[in-house]
Amino acid sequence: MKKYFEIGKINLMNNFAYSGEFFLKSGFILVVLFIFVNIWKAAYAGKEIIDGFTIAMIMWYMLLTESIVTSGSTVIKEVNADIQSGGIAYQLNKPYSYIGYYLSKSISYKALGCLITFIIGSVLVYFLVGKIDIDILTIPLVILTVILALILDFFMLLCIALVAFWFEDTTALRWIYDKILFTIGGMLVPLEIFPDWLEKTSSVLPFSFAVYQPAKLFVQFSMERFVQVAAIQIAYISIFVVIAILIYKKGIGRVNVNGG
Amino acid sequence: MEKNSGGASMENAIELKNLVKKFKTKQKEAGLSGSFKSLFKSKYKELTAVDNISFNLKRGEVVGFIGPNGAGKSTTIKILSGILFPDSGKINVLGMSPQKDRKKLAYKIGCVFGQKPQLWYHLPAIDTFNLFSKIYELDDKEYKKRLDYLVKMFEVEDILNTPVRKLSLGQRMRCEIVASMLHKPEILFLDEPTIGLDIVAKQKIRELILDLNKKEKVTILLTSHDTQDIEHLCERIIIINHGRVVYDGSIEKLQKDYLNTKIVSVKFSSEFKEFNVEGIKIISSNKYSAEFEVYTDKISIQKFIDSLIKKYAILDITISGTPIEEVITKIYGEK
Repeated sequence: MKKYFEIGKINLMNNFAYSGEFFLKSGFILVVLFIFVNIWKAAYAGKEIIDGFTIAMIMWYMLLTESIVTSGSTVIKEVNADIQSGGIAYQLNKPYSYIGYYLSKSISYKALGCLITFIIGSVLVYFLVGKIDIDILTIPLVILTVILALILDFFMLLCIALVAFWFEDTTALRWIYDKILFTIGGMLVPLEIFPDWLEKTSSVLPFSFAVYQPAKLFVQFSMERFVQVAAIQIAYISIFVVIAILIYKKGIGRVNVNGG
Repeated sequence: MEKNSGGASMENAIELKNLVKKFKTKQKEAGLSGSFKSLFKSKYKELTAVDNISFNLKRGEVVGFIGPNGAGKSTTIKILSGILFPDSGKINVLGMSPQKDRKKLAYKIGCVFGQKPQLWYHLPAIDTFNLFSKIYELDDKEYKKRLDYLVKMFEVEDILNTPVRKLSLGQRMRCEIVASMLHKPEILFLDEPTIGLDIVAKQKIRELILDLNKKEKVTILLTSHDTQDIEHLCERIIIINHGRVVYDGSIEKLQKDYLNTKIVSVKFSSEFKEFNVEGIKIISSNKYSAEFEVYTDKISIQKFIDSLIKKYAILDITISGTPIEEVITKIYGEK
């Protein structure tokens, strides 16, 4: 376990070499939030609450969903490159699991990105719409669901990335996946805004557990809901871990390494 | 695929028998119509990268594994380290099947790929060393002792805290070898360890590799395009071409039979006219330069240069070995 922690740590240290890019990307959230606060102000004209959300709740909700989704993951790019170039060979001559290696890299990078984006954005959101009522004691539990969301997102992305064993490039699949997170994952708007049938369908799909559910808990916490969300997140993670391992085991025998 | 028989003999570090590996590569007709067709129907071409290779490596041996690009060298090394799966053949590395026991075997082997650095590019080498100590689960005290020993041996004390991107190629390669030796591997795979290095750095790396082999009895399988690497380091050489072993024998025999010539290019400050000495063939010449083929079994390089200096004033001199492709051509010519 310690080795995976160290892999995450060294990846962060390596990324600090690009700290300018890191902060610039996180800082762009300010532009996005500023545009959306104006859109929502227009939508809320004359209304206090829409589908159970005040404008302050919706902006804090959006800050968290944006922080989760835009924290970025290089897993698709790296795994695709590993498979296409045969570079996977050089990752496999060490005593660690290939999947564990990328999980450590990805989670450390995403968790820090998510935190920085949230801190930068929270200053603007507080300034634009004020605070919302949050019980401080619930925050560690919300953080737990955010971490589970990042892990779930990683394993869904990994399943897509590993398809590269058969298709040479999976960036198109990644593009579709991103758009799913934006919409029925709940990044742009809470699922309550959708028509009833779409809300019900989306809220049980894994995508909403990677984005919508933790953000909803953040602005409307209930212990019962927390237990339910965390349990389903763990169940979905387990399913995608099994799928990823199966794809990996099937695919690794197909590795073609150029040269030599 | 035949399963590994298990339990290599104590004497052998590597046992390889009838290894075959084929690759399928996608083919596409030229032009836009070809691209369109390939959307619906993919054509594949089968390529035999490794074709029935067999050899054993004794513990502590330094063996040169050479051949032209695409001969199957790297594929074989990747199969030996458990990364690629062979189509058939028996493989036994330190008593293990690399494909079944990849992670277990990884604790006992070290790999250096000249063209694929394992050091983290933006960080000092010491950060990668510390990471590897955790990845290989080394005891902290043992690791510090080992690091201290290797750092002194490879003379990298002063560059330990410099980001890898700021190191010269030679310094980087020394750090790469330190990284791959931290866990005291029993086998070291060196894939083009001197690629891109200047003569002085190459010589230094060669000395260090030899020293490592003597002190630690580590088995080394070395691939290189530079025949001088092989001549300096290896007692035995395996040459492969088109996935087949074309030579497996002592370096002395190879030197005697095929590496018995050196190409010497000379620039003169006085006018070059003629040079008739036994064992020397003039390949080309003009007024102020000449290229000689020196048959080292008839005349030593030292003797040749001495006699040349006596006759002409020399500005510059370059000595190169027989290119590996030429050696292979000669071997084929004889067959």
